[in-house]
Amino acid sequence: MNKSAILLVTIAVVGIVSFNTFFVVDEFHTAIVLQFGMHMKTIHTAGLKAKVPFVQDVLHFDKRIMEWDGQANKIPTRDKKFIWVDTTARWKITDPLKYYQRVRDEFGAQKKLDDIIDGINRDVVSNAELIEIVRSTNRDMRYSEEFYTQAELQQKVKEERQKQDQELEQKGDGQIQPELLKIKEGRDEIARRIIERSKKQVGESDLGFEIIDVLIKRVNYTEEVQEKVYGRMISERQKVAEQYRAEGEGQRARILGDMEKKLKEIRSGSYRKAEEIKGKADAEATAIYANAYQKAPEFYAFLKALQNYHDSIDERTYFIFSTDNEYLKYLKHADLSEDSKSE
Amino acid sequence: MKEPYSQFENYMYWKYLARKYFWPIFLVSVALIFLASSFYTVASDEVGLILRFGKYAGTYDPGLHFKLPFGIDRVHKVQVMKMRTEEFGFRTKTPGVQSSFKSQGYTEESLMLSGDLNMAEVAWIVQYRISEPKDYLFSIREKEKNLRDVAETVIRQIVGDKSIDEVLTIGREEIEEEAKIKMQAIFNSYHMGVTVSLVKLQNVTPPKPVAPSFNEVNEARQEKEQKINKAYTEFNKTIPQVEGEAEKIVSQAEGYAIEKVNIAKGDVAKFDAICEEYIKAKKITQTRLYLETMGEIYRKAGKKIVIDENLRSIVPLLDLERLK
Repeated sequence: MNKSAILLVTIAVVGIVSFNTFFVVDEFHTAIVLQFGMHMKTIHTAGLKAKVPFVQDVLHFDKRIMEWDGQANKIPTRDKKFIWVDTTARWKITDPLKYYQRVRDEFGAQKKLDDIIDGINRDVVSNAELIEIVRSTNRDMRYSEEFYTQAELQQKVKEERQKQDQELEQKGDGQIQPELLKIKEGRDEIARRIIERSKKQVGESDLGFEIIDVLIKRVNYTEEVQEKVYGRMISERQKVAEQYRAEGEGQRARILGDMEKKLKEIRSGSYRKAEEIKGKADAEATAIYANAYQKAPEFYAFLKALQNYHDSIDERTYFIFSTDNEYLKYLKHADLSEDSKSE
Repeated sequence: MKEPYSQFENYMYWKYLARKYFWPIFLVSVALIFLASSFYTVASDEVGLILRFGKYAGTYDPGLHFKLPFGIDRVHKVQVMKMRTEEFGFRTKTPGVQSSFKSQGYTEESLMLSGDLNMAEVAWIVQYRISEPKDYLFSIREKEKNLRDVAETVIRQIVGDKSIDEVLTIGREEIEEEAKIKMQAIFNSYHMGVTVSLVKLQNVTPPKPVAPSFNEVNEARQEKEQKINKAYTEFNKTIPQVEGEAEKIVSQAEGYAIEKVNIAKGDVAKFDAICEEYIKAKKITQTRLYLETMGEIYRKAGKKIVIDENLRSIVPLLDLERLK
């Protein structure tokens, strides 16, 4: 054998042995070293490590925060509303050896998490009323419609609830009705309860991992409930719309009524004023005439009579004169002496 | 011999070549691998984290750097400058000046409950950047999924405490601000190394089956305004008109008044003039006026019959019909 071949073989052998002795643990993982299945050591720090070749094995476990995402569950709340609840959890391997011994791998861990968290979700949610799962505080919610205040809503709700209480007994999952929207605990408390119970149960099960957090990602109505909620939302809005229309109509009637009133006011006022003026004028004219004619009333009467004769007599009038007539007196004689006497 | 070399000779030749060039080729390959694996570039919007034998050995800024070769040093690049956006309840189809959106099929993400147990479809975006590359790399495994889960959880929790009106219109800014704060708090508790720069609501609508009734409210509100305006318009149009007419009536009356008084004054003035004359010479004036008027009257009149005064004792029968 020549030197090259020996060199190559040596390199190969050294390579294989090193390959089986040295290993790298990175910042993303912890590792355990097993010797024929028996635990030798757990490595938490990253770096180049060594083990006994061929005899010992290394297993790596992700030491980062990992996620569990359960399927959405259909859960009835305590007040019989069926909802979809979708939670997701964050967990982390704390004891790789125990983890390996108890669940073996992530598949096993996820399955365990499914069982534990799904169960807790169901438990907590079905013991809470829907409003507790939705709301976090009792803050006053604001509305943009002026006549849709909280107080009125509460009142309306109370009345509706009294009406529908009997129906609720018969209908299983019940109609969605606007609740008295106040909570005793709230969403944060519900979430906290889920987290605590999950942590506790996982801890007690001693599975080598722990739960960091559980998030209530989605809460939604089931389809049947959705339909009823849509119906309620639609009718609520329609009432609001009607109210607007009624207001509009009412204001319009009021304005036009005012207008009619004002018109009558103006017209009657002007009529009165006009009549007053005319009356005054008539009175004034009468006074002027009276004052003037009083100076010589018999003369006025005389003039007026003459005027009347003039106006009333026309070619259709026949006159039958007696010669006694003043006008015709000169037909009988020509004596002027009488007249000079009256001077 | 036709064949230049036998098979054996070929084999020997190649063996010779291999032996002669093996080491050079080997050494050159090793050198090349050494070179290739001993430097790296970090782009201008990144930093590079070096893991030496898996152990964190430093964060490096943009530029050309050297590292230990043969995979001893591994570089993980993290984009720290880039502002990332996650979309919820919709996806931008074609980004650009006029982006188009796709909101169909994202109802699962967008549909949620409000605090008064109504429902709404909420679309929003979260803008964030990586502020701690080391944390970002080492703390959480599924970074994007975690971000999205937390975002959905937070938005739903906030919306679940607001009225439907606050969600649709009057409380949007509040929701955005609260969401930013809450999301950041959760990310910090995970040491995720991420900073939320913006949470912005996009299209927030009532669920489709309900939307028409919401529109109805808007329309009814407008109708109300219109009705009121029209009424006011009519008011403002009619009143001045009628006021004008009223003034006209009064003016007419005033005109009548003046006329009446003036006529009276005129008549009276005429009478006064004659009266003066009369007072000065009563009998003469009387007689004159009488005769003038009677003269005119008799001229105007039709037939005139004169009967002597002494004929009073005879019953006169005058056949007027025959006289016609």
